[in-house]
Parts: sequence; C-alpha cells; structure tokens
Amino acid sequence: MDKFLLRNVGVPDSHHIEVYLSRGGYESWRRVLTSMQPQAVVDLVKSSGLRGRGGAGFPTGMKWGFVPQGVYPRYLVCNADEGEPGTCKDRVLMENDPHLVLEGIAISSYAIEAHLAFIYVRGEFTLSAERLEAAIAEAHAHGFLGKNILGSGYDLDIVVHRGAGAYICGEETALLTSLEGERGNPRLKPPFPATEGLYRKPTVINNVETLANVPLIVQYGAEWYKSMGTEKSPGIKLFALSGQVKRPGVYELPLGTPLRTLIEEYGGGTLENRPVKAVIPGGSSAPMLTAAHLDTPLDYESIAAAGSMLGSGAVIVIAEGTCIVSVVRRLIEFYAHEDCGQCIPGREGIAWLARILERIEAGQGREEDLDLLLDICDGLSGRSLCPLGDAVVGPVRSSLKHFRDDYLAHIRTGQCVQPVAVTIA
Amino acid sequence: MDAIFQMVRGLWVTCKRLVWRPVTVQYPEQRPQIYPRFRGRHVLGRHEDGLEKCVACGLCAAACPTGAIYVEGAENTEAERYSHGERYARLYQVNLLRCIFCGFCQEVCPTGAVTLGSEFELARYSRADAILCKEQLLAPKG
Amino acid sequence: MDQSVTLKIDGRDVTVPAGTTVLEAARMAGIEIPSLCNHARLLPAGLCRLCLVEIEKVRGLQPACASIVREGMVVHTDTPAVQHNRRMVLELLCTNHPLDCPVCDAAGDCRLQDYVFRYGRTTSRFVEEKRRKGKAIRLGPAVILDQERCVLCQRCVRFCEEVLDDRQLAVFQRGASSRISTMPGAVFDSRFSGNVVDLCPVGALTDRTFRFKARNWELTGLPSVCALCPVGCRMTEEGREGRLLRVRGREAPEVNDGWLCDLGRTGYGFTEHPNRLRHPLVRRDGHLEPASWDEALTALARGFGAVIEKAGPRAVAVLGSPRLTNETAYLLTRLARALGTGNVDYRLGTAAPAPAQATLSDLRQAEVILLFQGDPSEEAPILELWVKQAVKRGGRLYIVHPRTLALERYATGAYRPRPGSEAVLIAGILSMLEQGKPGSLPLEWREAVSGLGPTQVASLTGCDREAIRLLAEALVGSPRAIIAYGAGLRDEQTLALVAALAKATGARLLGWDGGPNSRGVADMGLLPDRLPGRAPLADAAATAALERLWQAPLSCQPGLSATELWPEMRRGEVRALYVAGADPVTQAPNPQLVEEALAHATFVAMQEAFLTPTAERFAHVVLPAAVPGEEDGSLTNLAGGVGWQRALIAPLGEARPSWRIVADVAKALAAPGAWEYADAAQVLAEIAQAIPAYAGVEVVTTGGYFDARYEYEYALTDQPPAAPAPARVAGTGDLALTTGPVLFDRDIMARHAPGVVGRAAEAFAAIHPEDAERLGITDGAPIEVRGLFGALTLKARVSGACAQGTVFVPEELSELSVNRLGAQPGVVVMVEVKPLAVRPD
Repeated sequence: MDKFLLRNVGVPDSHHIEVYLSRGGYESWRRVLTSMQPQAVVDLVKSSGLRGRGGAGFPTGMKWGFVPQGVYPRYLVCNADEGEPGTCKDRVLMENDPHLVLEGIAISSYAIEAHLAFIYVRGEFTLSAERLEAAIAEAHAHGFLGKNILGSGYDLDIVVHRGAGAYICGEETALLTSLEGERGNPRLKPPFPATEGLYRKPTVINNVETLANVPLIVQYGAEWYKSMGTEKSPGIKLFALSGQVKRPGVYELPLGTPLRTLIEEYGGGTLENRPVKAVIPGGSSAPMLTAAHLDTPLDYESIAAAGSMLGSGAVIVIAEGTCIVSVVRRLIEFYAHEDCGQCIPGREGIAWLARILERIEAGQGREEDLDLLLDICDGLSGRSLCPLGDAVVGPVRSSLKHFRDDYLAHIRTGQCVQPVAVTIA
Repeated sequence: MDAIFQMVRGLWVTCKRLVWRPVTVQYPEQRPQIYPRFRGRHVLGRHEDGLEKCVACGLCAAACPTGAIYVEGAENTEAERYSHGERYARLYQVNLLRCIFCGFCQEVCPTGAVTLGSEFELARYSRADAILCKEQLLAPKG
Repeated sequence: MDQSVTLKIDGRDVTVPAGTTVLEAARMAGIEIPSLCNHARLLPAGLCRLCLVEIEKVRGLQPACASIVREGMVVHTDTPAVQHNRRMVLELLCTNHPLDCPVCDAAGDCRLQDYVFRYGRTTSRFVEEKRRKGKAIRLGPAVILDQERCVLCQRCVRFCEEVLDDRQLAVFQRGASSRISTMPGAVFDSRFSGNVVDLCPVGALTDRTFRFKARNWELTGLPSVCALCPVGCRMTEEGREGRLLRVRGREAPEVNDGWLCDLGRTGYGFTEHPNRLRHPLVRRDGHLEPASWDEALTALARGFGAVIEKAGPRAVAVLGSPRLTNETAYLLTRLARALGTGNVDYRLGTAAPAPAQATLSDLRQAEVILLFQGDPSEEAPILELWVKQAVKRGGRLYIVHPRTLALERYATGAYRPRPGSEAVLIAGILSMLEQGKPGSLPLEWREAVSGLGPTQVASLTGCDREAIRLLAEALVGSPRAIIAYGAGLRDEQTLALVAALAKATGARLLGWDGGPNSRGVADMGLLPDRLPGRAPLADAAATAALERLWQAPLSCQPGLSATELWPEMRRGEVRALYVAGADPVTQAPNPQLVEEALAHATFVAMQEAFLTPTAERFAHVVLPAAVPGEEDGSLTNLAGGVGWQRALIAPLGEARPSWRIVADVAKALAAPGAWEYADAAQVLAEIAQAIPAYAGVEVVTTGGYFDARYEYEYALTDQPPAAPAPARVAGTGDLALTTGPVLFDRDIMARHAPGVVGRAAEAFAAIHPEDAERLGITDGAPIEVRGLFGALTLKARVSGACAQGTVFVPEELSELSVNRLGAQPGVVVMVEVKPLAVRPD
C-alpha cells in the first residue's frame, strides 16, 4: 500500500527541511494558519476519528476538547518517551522525518491555542533529540516556528527535553513531573492534565505518531482518513514487529489488517518457520494472544475482543519452543525495576511477582504460587497509583490463562522443558 | 460385727503404711524432686554468644496480672552491647512478693528470654530484697 | 464554603461541607477508612492505596483520600473488593516489613499494626527472603530512621515540602529499593524536625531522646501547654513512673495546629537534670547550705521582717520573670502590694508587650505582614510556619530587622534601618501617611512625626525612600494587615510608635518578646505602675475591687521599675529583694550595677529551679521551685490565648510549685489577707475575679484542661507617641552591637536538656565579610568583643546576613551574657572587635 506516515523514510537526507519542503512539507501548516480557525482543526481531527497511538487509543479530538475554556497559558506536550519494550515506531519518525513531527505539533498547538510545546524525548534516543533540535532550528529559520508565524500573528516555540532514562516517564503525569524538573513520579489523577497539567496549567499530551497523523489529515481530509481502517478504528497505524520473526521492523498498515498478514507477509514468518506460540500485540504490557488468534484484525476493538489490547502497536512474536515462564519473568523483572515506588501495590506487588516468577523459573515453585500470582494481579489491576499496575498484570494473567502448562512443568519437574529460554527486551 | 470389720479395715491401712517408704521429704537436708514444668523464680536467658535474649519489649510486664515486672529499655551502643539488635533491657525487675508464678510472662515473651526456673527458695529478710534486678535474674554466662 | 453536600456512605446519609474528601466525610460519620499516607494537615497523596473504596457509577476502586464528595454520591467501604484490597495492601506491606514490633517504639501506637489486626490476613504467603535496608540511621539531632520499617507514605517528605518548604528529606532510588533519606551528606536539622516522628504512621522515624525509654501502653499523658516560648504550643506530656519522657504536639488550629518546634519537643529533658535544686538553701557563714523548708521560710521571714521594720515596706522589691505562670505572677503582685511596696517588675531590658489584636489564625491568613524587629525562627518558631503559610496563600511579607532572616526569601520587602533608627522608620511611615492624606493622624501625633520628611527618614535610616513608601501603601491598602513585632523591640517609645502605626493603618498588632509568658505576667500586674489587669494605679474602682477581694489595704504608690531599682538598691534605699525565676546578674542590661546593688542588699531571697549565678553569689535563701511538667498553671500566649499547663509528675525532691512557694512566703511574712489555696486552679479562679479580662477563664475540670482566649480593651499607650529621640550611642568601638535570642539556647532550663545540648551553635559573634576582612578576622576564628562592661571571647561567624557595621552576639549563648557588652533598650552600643591569636596546642 501507499506510505503516508513513512513516506519520507528512506529518502536521502529526509531529516532536512529542504527535502521535507520539496516533498510537500509544511503545506498543511500553511493551510491551517491561513485558512482555519483553531476550533476548525479540532473539529477536523474529531471527525477523522484519529485515536491516540501511544497505547490507550483515546480519541484525539475529544482529548483536545477537554481543555477548559478560557484558561491560559496552555501547553502541548509531545510524548516521545518511547520506552515500552517492543515499541520503536516513534523513533523512526523522529530520526527520519522530524519535520513531520514538528508540523503535527505545530498544527495541534494551534488547535488547542498553546504557544509553547514540549517534546519529551526518551533519554537514550540521542539521535532523535539531535535531529529534532536541528529541525526546530531549521523551522525557525524558515519562519515555521517563532513569533508571528507566516504573518498569521500566531506564536509558537517548541522545546526538546531529554528524559533521564525512566520508563515510567512515558506515563503522562510522570512525564509532566519530570518535565517540571522533579523526579519523574506519576501524580494522582484527577486532576487530569487537560485541566491541571504542566505547571498546573491545561496541558494536552499526545504521542509522536498521533501528532504525525495530524498534517496528513489536514492535507487529505477526514474522509480520506476514515476511508482506511475500520469504522471504529479508522486510519493508518505503524506496527513495530519484533520477536522471533524473519524481518522485524516498523510497518505502516491500515488498522484492521489481520495479525497473520503482518507476521507472515511483512515479517516473513517466524524464525526457522516454527509455529507461532504466542503474540503480544501491543507492547509488552498487552496480554498475550495465541496462535488461535492469528486471524484477528489489528484494530482496537478486535484485539480487545480477543482479550488483549492494540496498545502502541508493537507486535512481539514468540515461536514454539520458547519458555513463556522465562519471557514473563523477564518482563516483570523489567517492570519491577522501572516501578517508581510510590504506591504500595506497585512497589511491593510487582517486586513480589518478580520474585515468585524467579522462584518458579528456578524450579522452586509450588502450585499454590499460581493462585498467589493471580491474587497479586487482582491487587494490582486498577488499584495502583498509575496504569503501571495494569501493564504488569497483562502478561502474567494472560500467560497463566494460555500457558499454564509451562508454569506447571517448571513447578512439577523443577526445570524448564522448553528448548529455548529466550529473553526479550 | 460391722463395727469390728470397719476397725480391722482401718488398722489394715495403718499397718500397710507402716512398712511403706515415707513420702515426706526431709527438706532442707533432702532436696525435693523438681519437675520439668515447675514454675519457680524467673531466669533471663542468654544466647549462645553470651548476649542477653531480652530486648525490653515489655510484653511480660503488660501480661503480668499482678504488676510484678518492671522493664525499661535502652539502646545498645557499639561500645556497650547487651543484646542483639538495637534495644536491650536497662532495668528488669521482678517483685517476688507480687509474683504469683502464673507463667504468663514466659508465655508472651517473643524472644524466649523469660523462663520460670526451678529455684523456689525465695524467702527474704526484707521487702526490698524481694525485688530482683536484672543482674540477679540473668542466667550465668557460658 | 458554606455549601453542603449530602452523600450516602454504606447506606448512611452524610452531610458534609462541599470540598470534603470521601475519607473525611466517612470519618465524620464514624466510618473508618484505613489510610497510611493521608494526614489531615497534608495534601492528599493517594500513595498507600489502603483507602480505596467503591463509588457507584465510577469504574474501579477509588482513593477515598483524594475523592471529593459530590451530591448524591454513593460510597461503599465494605464490599468484598474493598476488603480484598485492604488485605492485599497490608499483606504486601508486610512482605518486606521486619515485623519487629517487640523492639519498635511505635508498637501500640502504629497504624500498620492496628490495620493488620483489623483488616489483614492472619498468615503470610511470602516465603522469599526479606529485603534489607538501613537501620537506625541518625538523620539529624532529633530523628532516627529505620528504612526497613518505612512504608514510604512520604508524610515526612511531604511535611518538609508543604509545611517547611525546605526539602530536607526525599525519596531516593526507586521501586522496591525506594528509601527515605536526607540529601547526600546533609543532616536533617530543621527546627521542626521532630514533627516527622509524630507524622510517621509506623515506627520508621523515632524520637532520639525518647527512643526505647517506654512502650506506648505504659505511658500516661496529659494535655498541656509548652512553656518555652511565647507561642504556648498546645502539647501532650507523656511519662511513666514519675518521669516526663515525651512531648508531642496536640491539635489546636488556633495555636500550633499540632506542630511543635524541636525546642519544645526535646527541651523538657531539664526535669531530670542533675543540677536541679532539691532542697531549700540558706546562707550560713557565706555558704549556701541545704535546709528544711521551715528553716528557710523562718530565715526569710526574719530577713524581710528586719528590713521592713527598719526601713519600711518600700525598702523591699520583688522581681519576677516572664517565665512565671499567671498564678505565680498574680500571687507575687498580690504579695508585693499587700506588703505595701510598689517595687515590683519583671522586665529586665524588655518592654511589656501590648495586648494582641490578632490571633494566630489571622496571621496565617494575613494579606500583609510587617515583621518588625522580630525573628520568629529563633523567638517563636511556630510563627515561622504561619508566616510562610500566609505568603503561600498570596500574602506579602515586609521585614524590618537588623539581620537577614531565614524568612527573607519570602519577603516582598526587607528593610535594615541603621541600628537605633528603627523608631525613625516607623515615625517616617506615619509622617508619609499624614502627607499622603492630611488629617489622617490625630492632632497630637502629628507633632511627633512632623519633622520627618521622606528624604530625612531615608538618610537617617539608610533605607530606600521609595521602598518605605511601598511599605506604607501595603499597610494602608489591606484590610488584613498585621504588624508583628518581636523580641528586638525593647523600648516603650518605639512600641508606642508601632502601636500608633497600627492604629493609623488599621493593621492589627501581634507582638512578643523573649519571655514565654510576658503577656500573662504583665496582665497579672507584675509592673510598678499597674494593677492586675494592667489597670492604672489611679483607677479607684479597680483598687477598691481588689482591696475587697484581697481583704487588705492596697499600696497604690508607683514603685520602682526593674531599671530604676538597681541604683536605689546601691544607695541603700531598697534593702531586700525577692526574685522569682529571674537571674538579674546574667539578664539585666547593666551587670556591673546589678552586682554592686546586690552586694549592698541586706537580704536577697530567690525561688528557682537551678542555682543561677545570682543565687549562687547573692541569695541568702534559695527556695527550690518546680519546673514545667511538675506544676499546674496558666500561660497567656502572644495572641492572648490562655493555656493550662499540667503537672504530669511530682516536683523533684523537696521542690514545690512556684505559686505555692509565693503563698508559703506570704504566710511566713504574715502578709495581710488569706493565702490558703488548695491548688493552682483555685488561684486561677481568683484571677478570674480580680481581672475582668480573664473573667471567662476557668479550668474545665471534666476535660482536664482548657484553651481560652480573652480580649480586652484599653488604651494601647497612655501617652501619644513621642518624636523619636536620636538614639543614644555608648561605647567606643566601631561596630554597632545587635543581639537576640537563639532558639536552642534561649531558655535557661531547656538548654540543659539532653536533646537540646549541642543543637545551639558554640558561642559566636556574627560579622559582615567586609568588616571581617578589614579587621583581619576569618570565619571560625576566636575573637574578642569588648563592650561597656567587659569583653567576651567568641567564635567569629563571617556572614552576609549581618549588616555591615554591626556585629550580632546572641543573648545568653551558653550562659555568656551579652549584657556584659552593655546591650540595653534604646541605646546603640558600639563595641570593639578584634581577632585573638590562636593558642598553639
């Protein structure tokens, strides 16, 4: 299919403004500034049905609409803290097409009437941050940012802020705390960022990919956008395919594409053509699916109906012969390490999960440990301070549901019976 | 007839006891047998390394129905260490005149420091002497 | 917020004010929702997740501590999901908790312990090894941390952030390794550090002085009032077996709102000090020797009797102290007046504070605060918190003080008038008001300020003219302005000007001096020219009422003030002196004169808890007095609130409550009137009769204590403010001496408490860097400061907080009296400062 989000990826020097301009860049921005009122942009995005690409899938236009009337200043924050294991789509955009991201940020800032936008870039993404900073300088030089942009009277500055390496800062309130210069701890919600966000002012936080969709919607229109994907999940999505496949990578597909198409057609099938054992369809916190779910369309509703979530669109493929206990143990270890430590379920619960899984993997598990794992999950899901608790629960519950035998084998035989004990992330 | 029978039966008991070994113990020349579950004077135990088991938690004093026990804690220092951990009993007193040897103190003790030992010769010449301090209650070292 | 909201909690209708949290609403309805991190005086944090409840129409469990009530809300606090959550959270907490309740100071008063009992599982499913963290970490002088017991509720961290605005504690590392600590290498030495021990819901933070001394269930407590500074914090005394072991804050929104400073918290260790007087002492052959009470009182009666017989009652003087309770001060006044002498005073170089016009709640909500010559941090610590709170709410703070205060970073304006020109600054503002709106000052005031044009004021004070104008505007412009004056204001003349400024601007006055109960003692009439209730001596009605009450004729002659006393005593006009709680040799402005005067005295009797330098050298009879914690009595705080101080323990040795000693002395001297009182409450009842302003004050026996506030009206000053006289300059040095109390060394008793020792700096003198350089003084070097009556050897502290051309020497640092340098009200003392050669060791 045609590429839209990735249209400039692979073009030489695609990160320079000259290349971007030559390929029709900043036209949407110009159109918005010259012919659209902010509310018109909000309405356009609303009618396009664009949903947040960071993981939650919340309708973007609606999110913008939550900003309270008449409260200024407002801020737009671009969440570029792409830390979810398996996810690497935003990085591709930022490194190869930073101006698309900036254009999206500019249009969205205009829509919510913000004059200062921040890009919170994951600390490890040095190239992304450098390219964004260079792109901002170029955009300033070309008059696409700064004071009185293109004679419209609208001012906008974009600031790149580099994270310090904490996964939890991808959570929006933690990101804001970190952006304010504090330790990146999630905050209590409510108040939600839309009403009291950065510096206690109304703040909209959108994912890189979400924002990158905005110039396209302005360019081609909402109807065009809705023509792709499904009715409830319209448009296109970047899928980051990883795991035991032959051609891992970032693929742009319309929503609703079957999982099997992505894995077999784009990913070239599994390594050694082993049968698929499990698929994590939306980043490491999404519950696992099995080979039986391979024909599920990749859209928010279908994946949810299958018992998982589309999340960030990071599809991790696990082939037969892999030890699920080992996979889950490694994942939970990651979460325990990245937990902020503020709330008790998060701090003690995840750490305990990790230790029980470690014990089971080492062959010292007991059968009642499986119930204990589920009970701790009950204590975590929906009860922690931030959504990290829910993220942790996904892999544990789903693996116990679909791959209980892997656990029992560890417990009963005292060792791993799978030929491969792969670690991911 | 019946009366005679009763008398003979009584005498029979008497005669039988004549040849039995006496049950009276010639205390103090003779020592009575002390059974394992006898509850005598309190002993404050030590760990194998000689440190005191008591951590001055005060549960014995709280459990004591007669208020016979008084405990006051203090903090171990590097220079002066009496027990494991941070806390030790600076004062531990048992008032033997109040104690009813119920053994509650032994029962609640979380460290097994208080045991009711076998000593039962607890008479004193003065009331003040009947208040035993920690040094008197502690088991000897080693 | 007068709107109220009705919601349903567990099927019960509850009506609460709008804005209340669900947790609070449930508490009001008597439904307990457990929570570890929530605290009424801190913002909701939602960290512990123990308070999660079910709210109908809201998905998932919601934190009750952070959910605001809505009309028609339906809350369930006891559903299976809620119960499961509580069980789970508590089980999770216990996984890595050391479960060392037997050796934990919090046992018996521990939220975690209580909740596990009430809501937790009986067995644990945790089979892993527990995580190890730091034990018995000494965070600072008052607080010890056990990181393993810590539940990371962050109450302590939030206290530092929200209340102190001083982030001394923080969470370090993350996830399961999270731990509370100070910044690397830093010490938790806030003046309020002990409060985190009260806040800690478990035994992670423990009180260094109380540590391991007793278990919670062994303690008995009494609500009481702190007697160490003019705030009079409401507190609870706790002790065991005749020992006062712990002091904790008590909820009292009008006063300290539950917080205590570390002086109050740790200062009561003096009750057990080995130097306490245990027996009366009588001087025999030049030596003070132990005696019985009968012997001492007989000697005292003989001594005073001889003087009165020979030279009349006016040869007797009575000197009290602002540390006395109202009862003791009242009886001293009564005794003096009954004996026929008016020579009664308590002011050793201070001015009697004017009546308070504002409460401490007013201060917390003030829009404009002028802090004049006072440093709350050292003089009345809780006020530091309230000033910060006012600023946080948008209030503006203006500071007039010779030094840079810690509070200065909250100030909109800070003024450092030249030493001696503070009154000129106030008069200048008054003059500015008159110029801005002619006729706004009463006629007789205008004259006092007429000569002071803005330019002249600016040149006399060294303050910027425009800045002074802004201050004047701020005071006039706000209906909620407060002028708070502190211990630096020592002369009546400046006080009169400040009072006039308050009246002219509509600002309310709030003031204090160094003494904890100055206001109460002044109310009791321990002044040469006042009656109890501060009525003038000429007030015939007041006199008649008192004569009726006391059943004795009253001497209404004005007597000698504590300043006038010493020359008269040296001349032999005053021959006998009764001192209660004061140490004139250390505290009076002119120690040389005092010593000469006392040497001339025929008879000196003292009641005191410690053997002070005055007692040791000059007293003929010393009566051992009880200390706070050992005696009942009322104290009137700087805002006019009256608190009842309770005796938790018996006086040490043969010491007696101070008020009883006065009554015993009166009986021994056969003073007219009845002197039989069963207890201090009975004295207070008489005070309520004698002083109209205290009429409503009584000891509520059922509750065991009372917190009352009285208000009374009388002319702030009898005279209109006078034109500020040019400051008298004494001394030959080139640096102007400034002085003031230092928190941990301000109380002659508390300074001996084990928890306080070491917290005050070594005796120091602060000097501006440029002066230091000129004089060749380096930071920390020994220096000599030579003043009017001698020299002190102190450690130099080179600091920009001290204005150029001045040197700051704390009052009574480690018992070195700054008065040796000649510090006195209304006089600028120029001292000579020079470095001392360091003696090679």
